[in-house]
Formats: sequence, C-alpha cells, structure tokens
Amino acid sequence: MSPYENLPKRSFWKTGVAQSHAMEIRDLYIRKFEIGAETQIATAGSCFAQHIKRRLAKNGFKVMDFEPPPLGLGSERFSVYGFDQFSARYGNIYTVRQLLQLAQEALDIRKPAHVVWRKGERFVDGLRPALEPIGFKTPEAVALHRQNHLFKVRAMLHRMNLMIFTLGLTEAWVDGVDGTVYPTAADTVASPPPQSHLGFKNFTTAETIADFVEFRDLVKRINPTCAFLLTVSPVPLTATAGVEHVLAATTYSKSALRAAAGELAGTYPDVDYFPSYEIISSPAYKGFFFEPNLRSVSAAGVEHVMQTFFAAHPPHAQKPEVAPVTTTSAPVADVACEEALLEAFAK
Amino acid sequence: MKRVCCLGTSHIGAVKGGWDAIAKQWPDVALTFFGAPNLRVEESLQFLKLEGRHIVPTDRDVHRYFHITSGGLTRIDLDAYDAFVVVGGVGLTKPFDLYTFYRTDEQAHAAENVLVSADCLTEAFAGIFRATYTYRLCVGLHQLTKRPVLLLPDPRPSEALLASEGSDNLAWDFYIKLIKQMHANGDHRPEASYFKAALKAICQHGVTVVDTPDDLVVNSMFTPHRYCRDSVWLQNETYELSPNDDYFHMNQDFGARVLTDVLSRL
Repeated sequence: MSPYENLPKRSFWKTGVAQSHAMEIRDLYIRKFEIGAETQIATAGSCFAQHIKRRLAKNGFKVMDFEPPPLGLGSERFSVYGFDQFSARYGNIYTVRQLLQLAQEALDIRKPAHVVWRKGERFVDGLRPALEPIGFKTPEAVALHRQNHLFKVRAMLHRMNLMIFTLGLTEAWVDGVDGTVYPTAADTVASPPPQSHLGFKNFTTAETIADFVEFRDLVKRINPTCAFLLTVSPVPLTATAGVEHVLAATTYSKSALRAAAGELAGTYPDVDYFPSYEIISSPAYKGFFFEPNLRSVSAAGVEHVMQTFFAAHPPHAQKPEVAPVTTTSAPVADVACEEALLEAFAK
Repeated sequence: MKRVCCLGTSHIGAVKGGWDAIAKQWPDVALTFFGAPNLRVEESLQFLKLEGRHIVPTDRDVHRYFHITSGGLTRIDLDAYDAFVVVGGVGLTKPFDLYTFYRTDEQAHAAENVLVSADCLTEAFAGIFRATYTYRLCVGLHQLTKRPVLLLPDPRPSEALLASEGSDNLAWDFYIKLIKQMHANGDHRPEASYFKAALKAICQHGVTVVDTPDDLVVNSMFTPHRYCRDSVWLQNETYELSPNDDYFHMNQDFGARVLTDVLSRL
C-alpha cells in the first residue's frame, strides 16, 4: 500500500490548497501543545511580532509586560517609547543571535562593549535605538536604562512559560570587536563609536539553528519547563546590504529562517512552529495580504494570521476592544520598524 | 465691569477668601463662585452637563454646593461671563502616583522600578492632566464661549508636610508618606520639574494654566507653610478652616496672591 493512501486532504496540494479558497484552507496549523489560560507568555522578534502581543492580550492570553507604559501616556505614543510592543522594551529583535545575546547579557554572561551610540547631541542604546524619540542626555543615562531593562528581561526569562519568537532577518550588523549583533547598521538611526567597526553578516541556517539551541539551553537551565513557539516574519527585506538583488536576498533570508524554524520544531518537543509566513507569502494566497508596495502586511492579513492561530489556540476570554478591529485592507502602520527606515536610502 | 465665573473644587476656599480680601482693589471685576468639593472618590466637576447655553449640575450635592457658593444660582450661564477661572483638580497628587513604580534616570531607582526618560514621564503627567474632568471642562468652556479660560492647579503641598508623621485621612496619609520618601531620595526636584513642564504642555485648546508664582514655591515643590496656616477649604457646605493635618489646602493669603496673578492676566 502506498504511504500516501488514506492521508487527509491537507496532505495533498490539490485538495489541501488548489481546490480550496485561500481563506478556507483548513488545518494549516496543528498545535503541538496547548497554551493555557494561565500560561505566562513572552513575545519577541521582528516588527511583525508586535501584532502578536496585542492580539493575544486582547483575546485573554496572559502576555507578560515587564515594562508597561505609564498611565497618562497616550497609546499613540507607546511605540515612540518602545512600550506595548513586546514583553519588555527590547525593541525589534531581528536575528536569533540578537535574542541569544540579550539573554546572555541579562544573565550576566556577556557584556557588549559599545552599547552607547550617538544621535546628534544625544545618546541612544545601540541595541534598541528606537527606544527614545530624541535619545538620552548622557551616556550614563543610557547605561542606567539598559541596566534596569536587563533586570526586567532576566525576570521575564525566569518566569515565562512560553516564548513566542518571530524570526525576522538573517542580515545583521556585527561589532568587529566583540561580536555583538545590532538591530541597525551604523548611521541609519544613530552612530556607533568608531572603534566598534560594525560589519555586515548574513547568518546561515546552521548558525541560526545553533544560536537558537544555545538560547533554548540557556533558558532551560533557569526555567526548565519553558516552551517556545516560532514564527517567521513574512515581511520582505526593505533593503539588502549583500550583493544579491533584494528579491533574491529576501528569498534566501526567509528560506534560511523557515528551514531553521522547521528543523528546530522537528527536533524539540517543546518547540512549535506557527506558519504565519506561509499564510502571507505562499502563492496559495496570491499576495492578497500585501499592500501595494508588496512588502507591508495589511490589517486583513494580520487578522487572518491571528484567526488561524486562534482556531488552534482558542481565546480564553475576549477583552473589550478600545477601538474596533478594521476588516478593510488598511495598512498596518502601528508597528515600529527600524528596518523600514532603510527605504529612505533608496535612490 | 468684567464678569468672571470662578468654579472649582475644595481649593476654591482659599481663592474665595483671597477675593474677599482684595475685591476692593478690583472695582471693575465681579466674581461669581461655583464650588463643589470632591465628596466622593470621583471629581465633583464630572457631575455637570450642558443644557442649552447653561452648565447645570447632575448631582444633588453639587447642585446644593453651587447654590451655596454662588449666592443662589445653580446654573452657569455661559453667556453671562467674560472669563472663566477653574480652580483645582489638576495637581501633584495624581501624577505622583506614578512615583511608586516609575522613575527616571535623574531619580533614585531600584530594579523593581520601571525606568523611563524625563520626556516620557512629563508626557505621562500631561496626559493625566488632560484626562481630568477639570481640564476637559476648561476645554469645553473655551469651545463653547471662546472666552479666556484660566486653570489654577492645586497648590503645591506645604513644606510642613516634611515634619508630619501622617494623617488620619487615608488619602492625605498616602501622599504625605510618598512625598516624604520622594524628598528623602532627593527626587522631589526632578519630579517638580516634570510637573511644571507638564502644566506648560497642557496650555492648549484655549486653556491657560496659571501656575503658582515662583516666589510661592520653596524647595522646588512646596508652599511656604505661612500660606497653609489657617487654610480654608470648601467642605461641609461652607468655607471652613481645614484640619491641622491638611498640608494640601492653602489660606486666603495664598488665594489673594494667585488670584491677583489671574486677574492681572484678564
């Protein structure tokens, strides 16, 4: 008997995809483990991951926030100060190496050499350069804020039951002295000290997997029951610093990340993969969920991703919405994304 | 004759006392007071609604207080006044609640605090002010009348608070301890500067905030105690001396000073 006999419809392209309307593709995701009402969730990742925190919280999941915004600060100002994006104010974490290094720093295993970057007359935290709209007055203030932030990250690593991490990019900017990975290149948002000698690096699948395994091991040492849910951001690169065309570079980056996530989920019982990347990027969806720039994901796209997620992980309670969720394809412009700033360099 | 409507919370007591003392110096000004203390946890100024061109109380207590303080009126005729002065409801205490959790890099802080920038905290303070019924009332008054609307914030607490052991009034007791801790940490100076900057930030939508004159502020965020001694507040349906452990209401001398400042701007 053929091993393909008696397989469900989802196993065949014809019945699983081609004969279904894109919005009615079934069983795209089958969860590996339950996310309970009491599961303490931490979120991190690229800009696309910012949607996940808000939607989960709105649907009754316990999403941790160790650095919540102060009362009185208008919600339209949250992203300006790095609030309400993730479970602490670490900003976008585009690569797994960046996530690993943040955990290492929070657990006092490493100390980056050149955290303080310049922004005009002010100073910013190079590892989260979009934290303050105009930066800090002194380098000492940057250091104080980072120290306090790391305490929150440490608490998060200890307490989380599940980390949802969205892998965003393979391209990164690495300090030539100590290997610290920064989320932005020099002189895009701010300028690193000259002695840091930032260089371009494009991570491989193997490096991405190795970094995540090291991160997982680190977390497991202090928090043995923690689980992980990986997603891959469907948002293409704004720009590539490599020699390839940006389309080819995007394909490499997303393929490498998708392969890494797949291998990790296939290897570890406590690592799951959720296919948000496929929902937005697969030809089955015919580009429905991209804005005219073929890069930004529409609100309808985010909605469909989260509906697919909630079909497998039913909401625990619907929290009253402050503003109605739009069902039109209005651009999702409420996320902060330093990477998008690169577009300004396009001639 | 310039007709001024002065409405506000229990802090209106000092202003009324001040007006009684200086009224003769302002023969071309007529002040009508509409006061209602915060009887409950909520601000009394929320119990108002617009009815045609009048603002009317929606609550029996506020109605009674308006009748008492205005000399028989219970409705504020929006067209009967050349300017509006709103007293109290925007002050130190609400934003200072944040001090229990949020600190800036200019302040003492521990790992359990969330560290934010001074700019961020100032924005939060201003947001808290904008959300008050007092501020929203001010904005509404200007929109409806296009006349000057001046907001007098709550006075800064008396410097004598620092020697106090506390109060039987639970709210006062909380703030006495909080402000003493803030002072002991040396954090009152930056906190006071955020407060002042936030007051400046809400000077918009036709609302002018008349902050306490600098010579009535000591040690960055306190009022000299001579302006708190024999303080008068609106309470128990009358203007009466406030309790001895009240470091938050001021006396008629204070009221006269700030009111002079206000009237000179009209």
